[in-house]
Amino acid sequence: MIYFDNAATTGKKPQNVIKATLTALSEYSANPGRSGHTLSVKTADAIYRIREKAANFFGATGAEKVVFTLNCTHAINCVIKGVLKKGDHVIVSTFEHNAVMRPLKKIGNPYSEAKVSLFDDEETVEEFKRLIKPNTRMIICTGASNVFGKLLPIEKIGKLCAERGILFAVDAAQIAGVIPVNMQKMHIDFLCAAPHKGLYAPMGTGILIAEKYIENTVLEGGTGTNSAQLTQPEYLPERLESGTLNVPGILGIGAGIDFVNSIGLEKIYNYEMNLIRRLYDGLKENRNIKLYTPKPSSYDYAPVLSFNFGDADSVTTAQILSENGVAVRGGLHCAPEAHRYLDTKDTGTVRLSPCAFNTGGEVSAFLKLINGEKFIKKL
Amino acid sequence: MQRYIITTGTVTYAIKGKDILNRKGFKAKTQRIMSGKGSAGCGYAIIVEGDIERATAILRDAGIKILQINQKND
Repeated sequence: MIYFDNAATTGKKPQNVIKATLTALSEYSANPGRSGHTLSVKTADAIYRIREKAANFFGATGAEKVVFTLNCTHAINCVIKGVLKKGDHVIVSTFEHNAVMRPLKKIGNPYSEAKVSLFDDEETVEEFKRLIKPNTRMIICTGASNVFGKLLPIEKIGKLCAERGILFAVDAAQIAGVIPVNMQKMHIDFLCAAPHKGLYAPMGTGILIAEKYIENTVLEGGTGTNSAQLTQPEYLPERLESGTLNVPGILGIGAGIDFVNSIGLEKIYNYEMNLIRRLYDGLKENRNIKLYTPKPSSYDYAPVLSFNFGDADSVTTAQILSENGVAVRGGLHCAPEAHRYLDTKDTGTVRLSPCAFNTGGEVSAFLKLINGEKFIKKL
Repeated sequence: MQRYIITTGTVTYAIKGKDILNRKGFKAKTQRIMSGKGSAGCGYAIIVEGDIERATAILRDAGIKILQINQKND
């Protein structure tokens, strides 16, 4: 199978991630932060080392700021529901995933959508600036569109937030492990990541790094500390980590960070972007194919590309590709706002998202299939 | 040498504090504790030997939340 659905989760996990995950079950099978016996302490120590690793990787100010969540959506919920108060105005981008939009709708706070320019980042920053109101408390935006791959000018938006005293939260699902993210340099107060994507960790893992206090919790329960009190501990990460942690997943996150560091973020990114550009060029030759963005250039785009074949709906195209051994995703990708913005809401799009394990040979085979005479007959 | 129990409350702060003290030449380890009557309940502490004033100053500088300091009677 040619797996080009890595924006959903990386289809192939590195051997060291598999090993770390399995090792957790055999050598760290005790509840961290709950007991005082050797194995519990050893496991708690292993978890702490990965908090340190994640803090270093994302330029956070301390390991205790790193909260392990169920997934990136959970992390985003912790921020939106934990920080915003009634009446606080929020600015999001037109490329937000439902992980941002649904919690925002649920709490009912007023929000504005900043249009993201595909051509000029300054224009995008100006749009965010234009939408700031006296009661704007937070800008929350994706690091890259999970549909069209466009990177948002995170550092510039962060600088704007810092200048205006606005909290800045980033949905890093598509950029963590893909492009360099430094929270201090980018003025990010809350970073929400999906380590099972760009960091090659197991599914069912998420990271929230909170540089600012989160007042309200979305989950309460046992934390192994302050047990006599019926309220949550005040301090991170335990404040937001009720219940037993996903130790195998977290050890997998640590190994995933090691994997990315061992090759180098830039090397992986350039490799993936070369594959994306080859895909773009190859699809462009086919007059039946619609593309929605300019040719993706480095540090303007993440390795994510959307297209459609003729007037066929994207799910049908994806199904035919699946029947021919290619795994891609069709549909709205849980990001209806992005499709409204680029007028693809009725058909959705077929999304291609390679990772470090994909090859040029797979790109060639995919293009041969989709550009072949037989493919159009299948639709 | 006198040993002290520095209660941090959370295991994360206990491990972070232990690491920092060990790097500064102290002999420190983490331990699970019951904080005793009237306390918040179970938690974690750093057990450290040596100059407790210097140790606590180092921890506070590093942002470690210290809940309580007691002498450890072995």
